Amino acid sequence: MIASAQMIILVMVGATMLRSTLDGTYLYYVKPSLAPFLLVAALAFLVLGLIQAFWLLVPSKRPGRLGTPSCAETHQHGEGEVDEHGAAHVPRVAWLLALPVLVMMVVAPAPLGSFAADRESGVVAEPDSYDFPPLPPADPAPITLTEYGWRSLYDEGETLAGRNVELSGFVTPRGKGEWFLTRMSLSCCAADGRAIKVVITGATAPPRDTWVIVTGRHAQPTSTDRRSGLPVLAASDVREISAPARPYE
Amino acid sequence: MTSADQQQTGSPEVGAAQPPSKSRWDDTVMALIIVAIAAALLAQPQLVGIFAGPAVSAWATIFVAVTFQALPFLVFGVVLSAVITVYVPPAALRRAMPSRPGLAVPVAGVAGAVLPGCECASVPVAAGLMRRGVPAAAALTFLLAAPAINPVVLVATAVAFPGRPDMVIARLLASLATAVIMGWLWLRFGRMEWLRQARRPQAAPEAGRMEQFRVSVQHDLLHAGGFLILGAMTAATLKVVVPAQALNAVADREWLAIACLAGLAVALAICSEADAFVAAGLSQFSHTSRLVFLVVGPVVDIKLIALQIGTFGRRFTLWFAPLTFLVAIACALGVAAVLL
Repeated sequence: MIASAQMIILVMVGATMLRSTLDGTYLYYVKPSLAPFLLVAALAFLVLGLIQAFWLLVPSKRPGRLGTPSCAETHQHGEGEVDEHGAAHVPRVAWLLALPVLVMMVVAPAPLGSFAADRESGVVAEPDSYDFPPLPPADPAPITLTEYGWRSLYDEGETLAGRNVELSGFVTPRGKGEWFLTRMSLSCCAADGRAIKVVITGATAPPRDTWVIVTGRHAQPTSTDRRSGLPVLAASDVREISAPARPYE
Repeated sequence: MTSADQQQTGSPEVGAAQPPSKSRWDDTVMALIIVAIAAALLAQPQLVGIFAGPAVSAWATIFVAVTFQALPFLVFGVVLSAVITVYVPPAALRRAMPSRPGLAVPVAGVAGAVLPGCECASVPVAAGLMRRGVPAAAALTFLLAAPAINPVVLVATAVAFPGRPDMVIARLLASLATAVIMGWLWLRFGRMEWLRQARRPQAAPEAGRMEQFRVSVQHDLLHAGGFLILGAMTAATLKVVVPAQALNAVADREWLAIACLAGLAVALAICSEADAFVAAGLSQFSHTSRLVFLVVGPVVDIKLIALQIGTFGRRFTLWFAPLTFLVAIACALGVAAVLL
């Protein structure tokens, strides 16, 4: 891969990562905590590309220029030598780095939705701690789906009794006209997304993948067996919302 | 006389010039990419329609996710490798390691605890260590140990399995055992010619260490980055094609569950910091089979295989990866029998 190609790939990859970090679309793929590292990596790519561009424009300024072999020998360079623009031989597989750039140029792929959620059971994972303080005083109290699932299955819904809660997520059909309120949860990045599902009763299913806020009261989970039971919410109100900037829990 | 034009046309009077097919390939791919960019910009609305399909969209999301997640760690690993190669004098590393290779292996294994981060970082660092004279066995042990036993991973495991410190200890012991056994096996049976060690890109000697560093980082980043993308594409495809619900049927038969989770650990190229939470989510499986998943994942997966092929060559990886897979399962089962 010649020097100018290396430069283009480096700059494109860096620019893609930088733009995604700055305009927030990176949140569709990775956790917010990765932002500073993404930024550093983006800048590393950009700086490398810009330096290579500089050596392409002004080859005489490059260190070691005086000792560079003549054109004849450079054109023969295999793996070991660096060409007159300061770029070493790089195998063709490096061209694949253009692929994520092209993908992001067409459209930033949407966050994981019902397609991914369909393939998962949505079973509630064990909570970090078994200490469940009372819900915030607001009525209805907004909580995450994960929190709702914990309180329902691991606390027998005690802290939820008699309270209106507000949950938000996207719609995943359950079959037979029923539906789940769903969020995907990431441990590392979208490759390991797990589905968090709450069965919604008392409201007709909006179209698949619609983002909604559901207000309702706690109802008995589908099963008290924590390994397979899913939390249930008896809805009193369903409101459509626009997809949030941070779609994952 | 070093104009860019001359390089591209491969001027005839230069005698043994760059093989014409290589520069033609470069030009062709460059032209294709420019056409692709133009198409992406001009036909964007139509292309958006293709990406709207649920399977394609999920694939693209996972592909970009693995890429974004891994690239920062790759940058870190490549920079660290270049620092080791360019700035650390060989004598320093030789003094730090025990002279007997048999002892260097376990020391390298324990040293793996200091490199936090994805396995994407450990491959270039191990290659850098080898170039600096660290015995191959020790470097390979380090490569296997670092992603599995660093503090971030162990803490994540502790958080993901609350009330089960035995899972953390089991993971630590089984992973360390895997790394050390593989290192000793290499000592006994391995031959250096199996490792494809490409000649390092060298700037001219008077270029100075900064330029050497830059050349090394640029080369490694592009080289390893390409293989990483290959791994990301494969991981996204597997994730979209394999239905997760199929796992439920398998969970009850222990041997099937173990084999299945071991295979899943290879197919899902998840960073080792996160695999504990994925394992915690697989609640229908036994702790033993989940330990297998945790021990196999950081040492063999699609991403790692791609990186190893790129760094050490196909011949090496074709035996290294399957052998590591078997040793990892054996260690995990052995430790599980005692501790879990």
